[in-house]
Amino acid sequence: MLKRVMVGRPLGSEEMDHQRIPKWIGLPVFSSDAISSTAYATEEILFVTALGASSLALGLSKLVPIAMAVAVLLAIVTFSYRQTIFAYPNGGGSYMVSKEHLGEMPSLVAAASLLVDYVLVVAVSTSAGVAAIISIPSFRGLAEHRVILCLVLIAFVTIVNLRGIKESGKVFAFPTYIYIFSLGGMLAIGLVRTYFGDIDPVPFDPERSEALLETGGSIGLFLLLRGFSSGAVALSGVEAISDGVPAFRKPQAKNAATTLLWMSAILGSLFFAVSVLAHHLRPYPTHEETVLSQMSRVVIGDGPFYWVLQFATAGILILAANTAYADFPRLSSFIARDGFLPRQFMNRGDRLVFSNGVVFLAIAAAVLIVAFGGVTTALIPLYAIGVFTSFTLSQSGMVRRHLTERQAGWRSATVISGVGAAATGIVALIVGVTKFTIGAWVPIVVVPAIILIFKAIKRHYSALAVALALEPEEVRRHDLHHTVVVLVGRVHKGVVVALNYARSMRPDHLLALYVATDEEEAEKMQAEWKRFGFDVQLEIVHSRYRDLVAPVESYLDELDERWSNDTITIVIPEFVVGTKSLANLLHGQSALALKLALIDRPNTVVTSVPFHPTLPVAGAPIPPLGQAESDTPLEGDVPRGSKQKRTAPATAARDVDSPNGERPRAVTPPGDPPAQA
Amino acid sequence: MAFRKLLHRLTTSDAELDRERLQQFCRDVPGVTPIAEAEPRQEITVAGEISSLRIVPRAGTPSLEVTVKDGSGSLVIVWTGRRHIPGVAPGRRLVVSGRGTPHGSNGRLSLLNPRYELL
Repeated sequence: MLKRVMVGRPLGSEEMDHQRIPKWIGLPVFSSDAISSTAYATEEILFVTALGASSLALGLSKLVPIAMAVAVLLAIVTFSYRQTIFAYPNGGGSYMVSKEHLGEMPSLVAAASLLVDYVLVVAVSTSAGVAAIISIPSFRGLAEHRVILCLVLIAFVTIVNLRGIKESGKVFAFPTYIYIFSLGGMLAIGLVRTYFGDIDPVPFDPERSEALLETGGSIGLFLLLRGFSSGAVALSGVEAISDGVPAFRKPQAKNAATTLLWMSAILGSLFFAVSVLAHHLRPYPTHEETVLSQMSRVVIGDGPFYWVLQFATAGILILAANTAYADFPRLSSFIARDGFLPRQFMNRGDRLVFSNGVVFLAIAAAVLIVAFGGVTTALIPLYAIGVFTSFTLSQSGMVRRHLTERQAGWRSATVISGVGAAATGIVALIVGVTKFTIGAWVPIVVVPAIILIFKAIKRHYSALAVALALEPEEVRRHDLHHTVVVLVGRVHKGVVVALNYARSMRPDHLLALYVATDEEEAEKMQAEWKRFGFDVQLEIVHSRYRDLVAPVESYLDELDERWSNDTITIVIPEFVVGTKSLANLLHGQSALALKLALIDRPNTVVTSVPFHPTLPVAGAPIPPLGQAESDTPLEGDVPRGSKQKRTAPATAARDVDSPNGERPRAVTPPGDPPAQA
Repeated sequence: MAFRKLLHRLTTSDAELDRERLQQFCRDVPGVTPIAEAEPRQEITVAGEISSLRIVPRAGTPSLEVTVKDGSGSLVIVWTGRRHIPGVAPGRRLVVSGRGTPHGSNGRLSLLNPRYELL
């Protein structure tokens, strides 16, 4: 019920192809990650340069040069990735490319880096989205609930994604466009007023700006590079389109490449404009209000336009998280297909999404949010290194491909990819070095750990494949020596059904087993068994510690000694009161406990034979207990009540000697002795 | 290595403790041999606890079969001609003496109609 409301009806496999998206939806779905970084990239540069140098003026003066460097890098990467899209219309991005051209290890590095980065995309985007909302003066009070707000957002995006990509694309298409247009509008107004009119800079508040001087201080190369690494996070997400080519409408590659160009143009111009405007308006970095919010309030005031912009910012950041939701599960399904991740990641859920990947991503991101208190700036240093590692590997793979395949235009293509590889490699190095101490060490430790896990998983699957491999000459009949043990808790109708089932297997040995905790119980059972005249040998085992599992296990060990080389089946009669009934709580789950305990035992089968008791309808008189038993001659093989929901217990007992269509065949064993009572 | 040992001790302690408990009890009974050291075709006296009891269906000759454990090993005792002996029940301790015969293929001993004394 809950699942139907939240996730929707199951989709058939043939509905798959409809889950493809046109360019105008592909743009928000795949590029919101990249574009949304305009909401925080400038601020993150400023956090590093201004705080590091203890000087706002110095920090601001470096903003535009750093933004230029980032824009150049963006252009390089965009052109490299266009080639990847055309070369790999089936998607897969860095992982596929490096697997094909660089070998297993580089592809695993790419895969692990990307997975880590997708998790960070979700964590960073939601925390930045929340920051945008609590920047609004009326919502300042929510600042202390940062973490909870982030978790709510993650839960929301997770549910939308469990519904499937096409619908989530529609849900999310509009915030992106609203963001692009409202931010563009704000920037245009701001720049026009800066250059052609009069506008005051953001008022400097020394109390709120965290030990920041308005002037003075110093800045070195290291800080500049660190600032650049913060700005470079704007590029993460550029690869999303190349990973998701198959989700586009046909012609997939062409549509994806066009979308990539649009995205880079939008991203580059917005990012650059934000940085230029910031340079003039002099906002200061603080955890209370985003730089973007400070500037908007100066440019357009606190009016409705400002509100639209802030909510659109939060919206696109949620969408950015959504990008990762589109890509993480897809990438993990590729990896799982190659045997480096559990097979479960390969399965599409009933809404045609890779549900397990979605859920895993949500959990990992939530953990990060909680660990870092939902503060964007704390998460940023972890970010980007993975993206640039995978960029580098993917571009290197493309160079390798151009050199070996030498298709038309391979020379210029090699140069483009080579420059891309070199540039992104250098950036990865810069990020790793300059931010190692403040967080970049996390991915540097986690990525190799993930690779080790990949390898371990692969090893397991390979070993299992060898162990399970079947040769035609191994297909031959082998008669089992079979011992069947029917576990009896007390004498009731279900025992009869279970015994009949056990006999139908024609075992070499058939035993009934009763676990007694004291002598009285044992005596009683002994007497009962004789009174009912069961024709099966009953073994009564003593349980000194009132436990069921251990005595059964040690008894099975004894059986192994008694008859070597046989297969033992333990049959447990089990009432079924309906899986959804609360009445299940009234019955101990001993069958389950036993199954769990015996699962590791070789040549042991544990099975339960369901018995569906016919329960009286509410309000109907309940026949006195034992009446049916005393009316009818008692014996072992009465198919009373089993699988006959319509038959009342008392009349069912009289059906014994007149077999009719209602009697299930399976519970009527041939050659049972007649009642001897 | 030490960890593995500890793990071993923690996981097997229940069965192990139970065996030790039985061994300790049987050691205090005068004049008995541990089941593990009992020789076939010899007059033996052993003490132990009834771990399981077998009730054979009506058809055939009536008999009562129990498995006795003393912590060192186990043996099977068969009393013929009867289905029920008062006091012979799972969990009961007793001393039995008789001539052991090999039972089954694995060298386990069985005693046919031994003298018994409930403890």
